[in-house]
Amino acid sequence: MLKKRGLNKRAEVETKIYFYIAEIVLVGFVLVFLYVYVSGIANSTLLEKNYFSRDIALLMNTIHAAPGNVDYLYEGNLTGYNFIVNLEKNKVSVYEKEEDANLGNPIKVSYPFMEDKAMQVEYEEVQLVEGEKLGLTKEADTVKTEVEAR
Amino acid sequence: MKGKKAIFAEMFSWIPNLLLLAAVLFVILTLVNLYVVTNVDTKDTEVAVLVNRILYSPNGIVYSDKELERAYPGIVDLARFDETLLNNAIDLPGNRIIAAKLTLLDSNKEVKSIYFNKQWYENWAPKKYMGGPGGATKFKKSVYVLIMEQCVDPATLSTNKIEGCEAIKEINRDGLDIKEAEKAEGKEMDWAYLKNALNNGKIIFTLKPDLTLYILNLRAKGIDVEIPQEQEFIDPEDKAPAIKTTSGAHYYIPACSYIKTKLKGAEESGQKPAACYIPLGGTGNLKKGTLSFEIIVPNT
Repeated sequence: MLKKRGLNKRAEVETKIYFYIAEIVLVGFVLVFLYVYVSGIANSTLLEKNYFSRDIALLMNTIHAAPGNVDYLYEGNLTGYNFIVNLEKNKVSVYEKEEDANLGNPIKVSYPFMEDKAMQVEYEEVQLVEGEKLGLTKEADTVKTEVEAR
Repeated sequence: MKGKKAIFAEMFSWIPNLLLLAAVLFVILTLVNLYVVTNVDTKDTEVAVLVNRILYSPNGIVYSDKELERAYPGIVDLARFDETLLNNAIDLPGNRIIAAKLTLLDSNKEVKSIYFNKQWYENWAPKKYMGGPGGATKFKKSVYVLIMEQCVDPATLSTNKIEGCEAIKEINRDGLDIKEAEKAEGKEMDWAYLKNALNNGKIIFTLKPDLTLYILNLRAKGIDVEIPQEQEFIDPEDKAPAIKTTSGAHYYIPACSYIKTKLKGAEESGQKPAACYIPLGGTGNLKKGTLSFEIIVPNT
């Protein structure tokens, strides 16, 4: 086609080579993009953070509703993901430390829960290590979180 | 010039290839996103948790004995069936998660309706049949409850210490108004008085399913409760097994229509009642009823 349009043999070959190189570079970009995108999704902990934040928020709703005292050890595998769980007023947030975060993007996932205004609350930010569990306690008029060794 | 034209022509011939590449990329990304789950749907669980929270929360609408520090799930205290109280017991500022309308029915006749998160209930109500994001889903649930209209606090045997309870006449075994008797004796109806009454008198409690807990609570408060052989303390009328405290002469009869009827019946037959009966759960009048929930959760 190039020859038909007036290029000599050498110029035709050179041009073809440039086009082939551009094609290879483009394919390379596409492959790298797809690899990064799919592996990012595969390693993403967004679902786990979403799950834990909702699970703990629903649990807090239940603890607040208990007609008596409650001492509950959360069985979710928080240590396996190195997550930090932060309970604040009416909100559970789950996130990773920046250095542990996938692709350096520590997305914080939060979910609200309902408190009882008549109750005192003592929440803390926890990052569990192996052998520790998140304890949720309701005693008299106080709801609190604590790290318990198990 | 001819050469440039040739290169441009070659570039244009690439356009279909690039379009094909874009289409392939789009399909791959769509398929990947389609099979990756990032959304967790917890609507059903949230509804169940809210219903249970309303039915069990000691600071909510159910009857709650502050002395014994326990709630009586299933007994709706009409005096506590209040919107402000409910929203304080289940508090979430700017709640965009869930809203509800609670209707208390007595024999299918509406007694009272209250809202939880009224503002958003009314906002979401028109969208309750719209599917997808922006719409809302409505859940309906009904539970059988007992509606407490008047109450006698089982802890203090008093009617006037419970907020919102109508004072009802209490009489002792001699048929005297208990309040008048208290005044005459210069005694307040409190735990010290009750303890004294229990230690010096013979009080029999009708046995209800949660009686064991009640006895344990009495003991925790320093009141000595004797649990006799069951057959000795069976009420001849309704065969309800009972317990008594230490022996003595002081009788105390809390008021309620049930007790009055028994007392009257006993007097008519020429007998003085040997004991008084305290309906556990702090009841004055308990009526069968239904608590109906209409809960709306926005779609995400």
